Amino acid sequence: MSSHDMNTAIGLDVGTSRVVMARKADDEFEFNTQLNAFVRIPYSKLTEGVLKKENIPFTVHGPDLVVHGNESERFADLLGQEMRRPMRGGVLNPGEPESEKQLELIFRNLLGDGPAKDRKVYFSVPSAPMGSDENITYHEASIRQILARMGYDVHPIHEGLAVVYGEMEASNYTGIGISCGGGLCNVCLAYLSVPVVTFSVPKAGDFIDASASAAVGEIATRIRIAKENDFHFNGHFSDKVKQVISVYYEDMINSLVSGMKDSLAATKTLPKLGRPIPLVLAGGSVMPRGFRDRFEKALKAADFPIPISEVRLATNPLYSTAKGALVAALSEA
Amino acid sequence: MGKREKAPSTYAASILDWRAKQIDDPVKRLKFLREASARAAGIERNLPRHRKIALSGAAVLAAGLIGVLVMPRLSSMMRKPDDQVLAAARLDAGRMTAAADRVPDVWLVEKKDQYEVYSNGLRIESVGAVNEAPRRFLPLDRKHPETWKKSAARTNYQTTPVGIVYHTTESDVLPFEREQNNNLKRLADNVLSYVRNIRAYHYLVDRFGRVHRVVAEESIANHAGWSVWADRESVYVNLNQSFLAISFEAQTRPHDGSETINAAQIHAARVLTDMLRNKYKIRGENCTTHAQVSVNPDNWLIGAHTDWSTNFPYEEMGLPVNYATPIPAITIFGFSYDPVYVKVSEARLWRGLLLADDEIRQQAGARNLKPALYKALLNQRYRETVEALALK
Repeated sequence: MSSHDMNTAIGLDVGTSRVVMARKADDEFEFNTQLNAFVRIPYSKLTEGVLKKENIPFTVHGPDLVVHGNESERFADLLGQEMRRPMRGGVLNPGEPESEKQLELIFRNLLGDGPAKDRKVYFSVPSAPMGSDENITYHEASIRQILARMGYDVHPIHEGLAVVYGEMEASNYTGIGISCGGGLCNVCLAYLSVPVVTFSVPKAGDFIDASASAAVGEIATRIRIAKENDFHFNGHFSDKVKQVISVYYEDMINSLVSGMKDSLAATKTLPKLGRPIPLVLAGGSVMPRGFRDRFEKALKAADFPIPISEVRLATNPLYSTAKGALVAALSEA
Repeated sequence: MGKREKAPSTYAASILDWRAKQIDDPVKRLKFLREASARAAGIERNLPRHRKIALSGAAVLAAGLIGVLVMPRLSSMMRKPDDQVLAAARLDAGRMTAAADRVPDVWLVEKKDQYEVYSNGLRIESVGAVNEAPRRFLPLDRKHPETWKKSAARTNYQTTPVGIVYHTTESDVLPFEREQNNNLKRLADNVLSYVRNIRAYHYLVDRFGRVHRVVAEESIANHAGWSVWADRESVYVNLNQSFLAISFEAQTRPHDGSETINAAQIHAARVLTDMLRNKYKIRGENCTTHAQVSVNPDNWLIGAHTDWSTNFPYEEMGLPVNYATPIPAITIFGFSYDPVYVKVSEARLWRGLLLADDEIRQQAGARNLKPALYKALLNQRYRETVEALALK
């Protein structure tokens, strides 16, 4: 493996809410992130000029300007619009006709215009939701096609497994990795790097946003901003939005824990682990203060079938999946 | 429901776990683990169907992982393992040597017809101990194997034991519980009576930690007929003649998953070992287990007996961890081992196997021979030595 190969491999976390890119530069992990969203605004020469001047990524599409990535949230909030999302529930959004096109623009924005040929990209894919016949083949094939079209050597990796690879070096990549993103909570129990069980629970950040939005009559984008800016557990909120967010967060945690318990209890081929294993929480939805404690409490109350040595947050929950995907890419380089 | 893959078996996993931890770089560590899993899966896929049925998935993975990745392949298929792994195994062996010669001071306090008491608290029940043919053996000069064939002409026999072989009785064991007291006593008496009848060991440590003398120390006991061991200077063939035997009333792998021996047995065996080491100046490197010394000359495999092939509490006994010693039967006489032995030895013994294979490879290389041919020559050396020592 040459150092050149090491430096050009890329890990890509293709999440419902964000796309995160990881690469190695000078022996350090380097991350870049974009919101996986876009917003259409009516075309005017003046607006186009301002966007150019401010270096805000956009495209002209018919009578509209399309702003994608990080800036879309600001514009959506300013204009009182919902952001449009290329993905929903962890996979390509079937109700969004521009999903693949916008995703490609976001990828190009993140990956840059450098030479892509034969650069190895490991991209995250969700696991099929528990109890659902839904499969992710179309989603995976579409992402693969977009990246391959850009010239990359493309490989998928399950999101939960990527968390294990990104965070569990100390336990020889044995443990439970959980990524709670926008659309899904992806779970992987890995044993010495082998994914023994992977599944997802279809309640995550978007579920909280949409449920709270319906409950308080606020647009989901504003719920999301409130949730990510200053929401925390164990508080007594006078703000109704936060009260509602708290209720749906509890629901998400309980669903996740009971889903994990049921899934692992139904698994007949669990290895003999020999000792308690760590559990790591990653993804944007685990970031509110107090999440870890609340999750651990729910885990204890559920009489979880596998002994857990520790429950901890990932070093940087937003970047864990991308980092793990990069580690997987480097290990294959 | 989500995706499921097969994880490495317990045996293979503990080895992989250990080996992976020797790799500092997280990317290289992951690469190693992923390749190991993939290759193991490949081995299982390539097995004919009847073999898959005969060997459980776990056994296949264990044998596969150990055989292909962690250890060199057997006999002529041997390949060189990572230097990193060998270095770690050598480090263990180094620790063994450093601790080998610390012999504690223990003396006889009181001796009666029924028992003996020693200064370290050891009490030996000596009622019913039997005498057999006196010990008499010829150590072989490790550095001069060419002299071994002439052993018949030698008369400088040694009569003091040079080592200890630890055994288990592999007899029935009951749960070690108060309610079972009478049954436990009955079983202990039966086992003692049986091993005394067949002169099986010098000492038996029963489940209450009582030390029974079975055969007098000066006599030969029938504990390790076909067997080989070596220390830095000498090689010993047929350890009935040269080694003492301590057996535990125990099963190496109890069916109920409990510990092989209990705290009382460990304590008793430790004070007994200390006394014997002090009395006969026995080196730590010569305190070993039956599974490590036993050979079968009919098929040239080690491990004809597998008691204490794993779980022997070397550390708790105050002994160097001799599981890391290159198996002398392999390095000196070219014996081999099979996946069954790898399986029963679990994770602890593989360092000794690994180092033994590496030594064979180096010795063969130095003589410009293929390892398989070199081993065949060593087998011939064993045959001639046994003949010269009149052990047949």
